[in-house]
Amino acid sequence: MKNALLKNHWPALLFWAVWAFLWCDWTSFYLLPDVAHWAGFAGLTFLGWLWFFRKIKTVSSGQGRVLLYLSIYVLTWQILILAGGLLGLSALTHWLASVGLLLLFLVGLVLAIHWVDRRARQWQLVASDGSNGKVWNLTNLNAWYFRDSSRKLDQSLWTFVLYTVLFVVLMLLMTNLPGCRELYEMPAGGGEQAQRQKIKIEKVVKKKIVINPFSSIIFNPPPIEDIKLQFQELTKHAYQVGYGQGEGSGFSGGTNRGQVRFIRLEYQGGDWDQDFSGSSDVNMLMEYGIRTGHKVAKKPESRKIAQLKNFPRGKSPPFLYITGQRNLIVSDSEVEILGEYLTDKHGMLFADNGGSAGWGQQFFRLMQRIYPKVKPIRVPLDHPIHTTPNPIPFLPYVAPHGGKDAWGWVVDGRLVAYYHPGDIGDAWADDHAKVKREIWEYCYQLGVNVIFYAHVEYNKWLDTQNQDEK
Amino acid sequence: MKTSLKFFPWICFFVWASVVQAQRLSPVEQIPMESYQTMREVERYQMKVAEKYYLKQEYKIAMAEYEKYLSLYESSSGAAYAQLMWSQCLVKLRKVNTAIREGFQSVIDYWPDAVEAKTAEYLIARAYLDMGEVEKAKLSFRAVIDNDAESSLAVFSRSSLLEIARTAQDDVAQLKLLDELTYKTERSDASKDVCAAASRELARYHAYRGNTREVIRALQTTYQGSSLDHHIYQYGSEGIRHLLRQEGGEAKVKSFASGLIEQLDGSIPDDLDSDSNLARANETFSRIIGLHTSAKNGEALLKTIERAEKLLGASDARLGQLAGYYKSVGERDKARSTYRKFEDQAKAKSHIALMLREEKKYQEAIDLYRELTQEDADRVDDYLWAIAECYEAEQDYKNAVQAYRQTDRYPANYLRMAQCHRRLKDWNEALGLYNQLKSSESHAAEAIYQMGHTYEEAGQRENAIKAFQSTCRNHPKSKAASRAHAHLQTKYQITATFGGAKAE
Repeated sequence: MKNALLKNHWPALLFWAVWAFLWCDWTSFYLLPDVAHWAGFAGLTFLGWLWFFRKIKTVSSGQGRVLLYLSIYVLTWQILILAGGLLGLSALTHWLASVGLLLLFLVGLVLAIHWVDRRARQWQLVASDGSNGKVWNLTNLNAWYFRDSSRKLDQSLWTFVLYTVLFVVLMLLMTNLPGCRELYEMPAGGGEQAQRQKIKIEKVVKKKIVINPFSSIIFNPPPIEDIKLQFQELTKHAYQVGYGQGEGSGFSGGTNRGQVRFIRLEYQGGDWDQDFSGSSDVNMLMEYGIRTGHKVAKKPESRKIAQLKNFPRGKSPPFLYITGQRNLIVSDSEVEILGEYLTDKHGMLFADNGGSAGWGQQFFRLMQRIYPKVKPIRVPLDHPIHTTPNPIPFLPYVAPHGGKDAWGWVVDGRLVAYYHPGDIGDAWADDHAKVKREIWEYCYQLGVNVIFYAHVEYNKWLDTQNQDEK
Repeated sequence: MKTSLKFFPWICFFVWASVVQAQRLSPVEQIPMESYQTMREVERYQMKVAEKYYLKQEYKIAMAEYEKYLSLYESSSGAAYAQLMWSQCLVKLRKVNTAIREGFQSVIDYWPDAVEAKTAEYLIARAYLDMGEVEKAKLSFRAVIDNDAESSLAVFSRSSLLEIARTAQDDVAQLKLLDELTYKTERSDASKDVCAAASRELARYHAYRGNTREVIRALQTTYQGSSLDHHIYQYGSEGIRHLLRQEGGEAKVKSFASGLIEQLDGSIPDDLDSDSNLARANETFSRIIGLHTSAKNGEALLKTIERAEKLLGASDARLGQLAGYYKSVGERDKARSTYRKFEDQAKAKSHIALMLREEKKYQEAIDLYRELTQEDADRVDDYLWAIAECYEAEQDYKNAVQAYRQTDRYPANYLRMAQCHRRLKDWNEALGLYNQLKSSESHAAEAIYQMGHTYEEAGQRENAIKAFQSTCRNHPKSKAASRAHAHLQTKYQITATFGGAKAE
């Protein structure tokens, strides 16, 4: 029987085995690069559709047709979710994930009840079930655990309960499905949490020789390469920006497919999306990649506060960017989620006052709600966030909407929130808010520092967790 | 004119006092007497130079001067202090980590026996607190207290620990520290302010819980006489209001208020012949009435007023308090009739007019204010302003403009008139007024910003943008500029520059 199944259906079994491997690797093992996953999934979906069109004409049994429809549904649903994620259509992805899951559950339930019903009829045709003891088979209406008065109803109820339990268990096993559960992974590598060194070079030119090109005397001016260079400060060679042991710039707690992402936090009541469609977030992300050598995402993203629950502990974003200038409305349940994100998941908020003192005050009130027992501090200029990897001599800002000082909230020795008072995001935009080059350059450097600080702190925490587990 | 001349010396005194206050070194920043005594004249001179820049808040120059002192007079008795102040400059420049690492720690390492070493330990703890390193700060403060529990540094450390306990909402620790600072600490010149603040906080703590005896006991450590009565009344009223907001707080209020009143009652002098005693009795009655009002105890309040009138005669101030009580319990007619009993009828009418405004009976209020303009020539401007506000509240903007025009409150009246013209869609008039306001330096930014909005309401988009940009360009440090910047960005997607930050 088993041999016949393998013999007749080996292409389908092989197909699903490859798909399952790709899925497991995508969600848990990370052996293959992204390209391989995409090529694999796209190829399998294409093959699936070809197979569907060929088979649908030949398959005559109802059961076979249903299986075919179900297979193509699962394949298409999964590729759509992946594509949505790639295109940054988070809302659509979430909608597809939840609606698709519900549909799958309902279809599966109908099929399960239909199958049990058919099997029950077959049992009824057989006069005896062939056993003298208790009947355990769910599909048999003579099962001992059905009540005499309502055997059919009990059978349906049992089918429903068992199917639901099975479905939930399966889903729990597969919760890595993008859209239901999301992962943030840092780029793998290593490096030092040290200040970037500047090398000052002094050119030592021994003599200034003014040469008259019409002179009858032949001069031999020294070639430019011979000018002696004297280093005023001999410093360390350029080091890798990162944290921990590992090859290339990155973080020891990262993965090969990991990358630094720039995620903006969505909230109610105001303009969380101030300049979101513009260039500032993407510019900052690119600059971070260029200045640190870390792998970065192609484009910035945004998430609702409620969506932060989808990130598991240890795979959540080390920082989130929040900006705006109008109202900042956060419900009590959202405050709880933010508290969990900042404390349990070791996250950090990078707040940027986009244009009003009122927004700053609202952010302070929000932090007061999350951490009622923590007092904000003015972040010193020699705090690691202001010195590593780029030393910032003064706080750069575009306009002092909420003062001229950066504020921070320290919990267990690390900053869980960094508040910039003066529209730093504007300086990252293409026109740099028309401020001087020096200012926007420092704004980029500060942005790099904040992102780097959040990742380093996250990595340190991951290291501690790993040590504790050992 | 004469009135303003009368207050001129006082104004000068307060300005001078505030400047002197701002330019004073805090107790921990002052050079110890023993170091100063043994310093040579040249050393004192150099130290004064550095201090001058420190007080002028030019910390980079001050740092250089302290450094100069250290290189010139390394072995002098003031060297430790110079190093300490050099580190303080770093703290002021917001380089707290460097201040600890390279500044305060050096004081401890190089001059371990100096007084400054102990101060450095305290300042390290403060620096930790400034950096949000609460646990490290707590340990450091405790170390300072353990070193010398009687010193003023120990008092400051307790005060800082109290600050930490307050933030952490640790009631037990707060109460313990407040007790120590209020009752167990000897009050010196350096520590008396900290202890007084602690006694007030302790009084508030007990007032919120209705502990009469503890409130009085805590305040008695700092205040005496009329000042004590004033603070008992202040914290008592606060406590009563707090208790009334709590569930089941009414029961506590009665005994709490009666205890406080009993204490205050004891302050009423028996002999009321002298002016000072009369004034004291008036003040005390006023406070007792205030406590009855807070506790909403009408019966006792009426009895107290009767008693006060018997002893001191009728007074508008007391009647005002009674009317205030009636208003607070919603008996507005009784409040009005009480105001009518005032000796100063102009004041009575003014209060009644205000009540009418609260009841949104603007026309009646206007009539009353008009009467007052005839009867009370000294305060005509106030009445005209009130009339204008009534018209504005009634949305009768034309009359409001006329009334504002008659007042003498430039530039506030111009701003209000322009606002009324904008409501009337009389854009040119509004713009004309804003243009006139541009000459007032303190209001120019707001005027230009409001011009932008006026142009916007008039549909003149380009002029609006120009006005907003002009606000940012010409008054970059004003609040109006910040709003204009944000508005330009949100509404027009235009970025106006403020020039950004500048190197310090």
